[in-house]
Amino acid sequence: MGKFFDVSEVFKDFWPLIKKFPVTLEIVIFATLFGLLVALVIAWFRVMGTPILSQISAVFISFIRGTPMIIQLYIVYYGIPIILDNMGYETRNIDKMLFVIVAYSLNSAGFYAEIIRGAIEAVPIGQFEASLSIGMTRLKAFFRVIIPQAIRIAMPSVGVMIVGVLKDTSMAFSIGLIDLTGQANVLGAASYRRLEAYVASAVIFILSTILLEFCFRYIEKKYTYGRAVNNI
Amino acid sequence: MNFKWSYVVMAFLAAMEKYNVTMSLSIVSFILALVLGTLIAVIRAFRVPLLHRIFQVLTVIGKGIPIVLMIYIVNYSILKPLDYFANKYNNPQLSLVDKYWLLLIAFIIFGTINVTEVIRGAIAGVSAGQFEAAYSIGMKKWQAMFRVVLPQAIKTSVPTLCNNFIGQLKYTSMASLLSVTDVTNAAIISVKTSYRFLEAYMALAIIYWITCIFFEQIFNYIERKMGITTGKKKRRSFAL
Repeated sequence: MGKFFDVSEVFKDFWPLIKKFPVTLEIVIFATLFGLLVALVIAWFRVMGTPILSQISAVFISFIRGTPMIIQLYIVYYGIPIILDNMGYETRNIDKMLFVIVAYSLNSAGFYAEIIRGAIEAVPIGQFEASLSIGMTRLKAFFRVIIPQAIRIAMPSVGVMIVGVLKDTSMAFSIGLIDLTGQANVLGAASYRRLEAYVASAVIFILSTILLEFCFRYIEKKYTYGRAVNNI
Repeated sequence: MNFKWSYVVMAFLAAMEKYNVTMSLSIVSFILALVLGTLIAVIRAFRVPLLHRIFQVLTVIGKGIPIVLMIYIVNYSILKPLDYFANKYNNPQLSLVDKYWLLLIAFIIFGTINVTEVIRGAIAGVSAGQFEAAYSIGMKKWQAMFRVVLPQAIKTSVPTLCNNFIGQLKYTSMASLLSVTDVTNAAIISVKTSYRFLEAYMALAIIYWITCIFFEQIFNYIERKMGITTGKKKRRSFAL
């Protein structure tokens, strides 16, 4: 039995961990991009009340919000190969990253859809009517007038969400992806110093969270542009 | 390999046997987190000299740690000293802790951080005039806090706290990291021999989904009772 906690081991683990940080970052970036795109479509259905698609979207959002991330990840991980198998595709060589990105994109899409819907409904309806009155089509009014204003309203929640996704990526290691957490597992298993490896990866997570939050606070400040000062 | 509903039912039944583990884990940890989080929020609101700074730093650190790492770090940082003492006194009994308690501690810490942030924001949102009014009728500092400000702060933070609880409930599915047999782990164990993992996870999704909807309904009811939401949604549509 050595020391309880070996600080030098933490420093030794940093470099191999940081080398895997881009994997984690990749998940966050793709999940945010695809998630926002899908969420925009879902929010459009929800806001417009498109007959069947609106109900399907509501069920999708409820499912995403009502089930744990890890279970969605595993459903994607085991479900996609079965679907592809039945369609006659070879599924053995699919990169695990693909499953992770699909799962995290769908998960964040569900949450973003609610955020975007709330933000869109917070924009006064008069804005929409005004755009229609000057001859814009509904789609044009939506994307040129409503969305820019909704972005400003949704910004703080989106920031919180991105930080949440970054933290949730720590579950991706459970399907065998070597990201930041997966690498911490590997290092810990190799050196029998698991606690140090986890602490080192936690430090990286903490620093990146603080950095992200700082960035979002800066962007929010920029976006309050034009608003009354006491409104902040 | 095709999808078979019979395995879903089997996994569902196996999982439901451990339903109380998941429930107790999430409810007990959240109630304790509420108490601790409120206390820390009050300490931070009063700016108690040293404690205020310590908790401020701890919240910033804790907010950045993902739940997976939190569970692992709590696990190893408690087990390591216990192992050491077990070796020292030649008593292997010492290092045999039920992992359930370690998990509970991890979730209490996780919840406390969230609750502190929410309540602290809510306390800051209560106008300073409330404090002054309470002082003017002769209340002490802590009386003003616990009888006047905190009730208002808790009322405004109820919707967020409810969301936090549901989030924590969902995160208890990580219990299998420490091989605690909760709902998730029980369902997975039941399909270990048949490799019907998709079916098991489907069953789990159904269980968690229903549970979350159930709690959401309860919280909606509480919010209506407390007069936070009127229940009637303002109908407005862009589909002219």
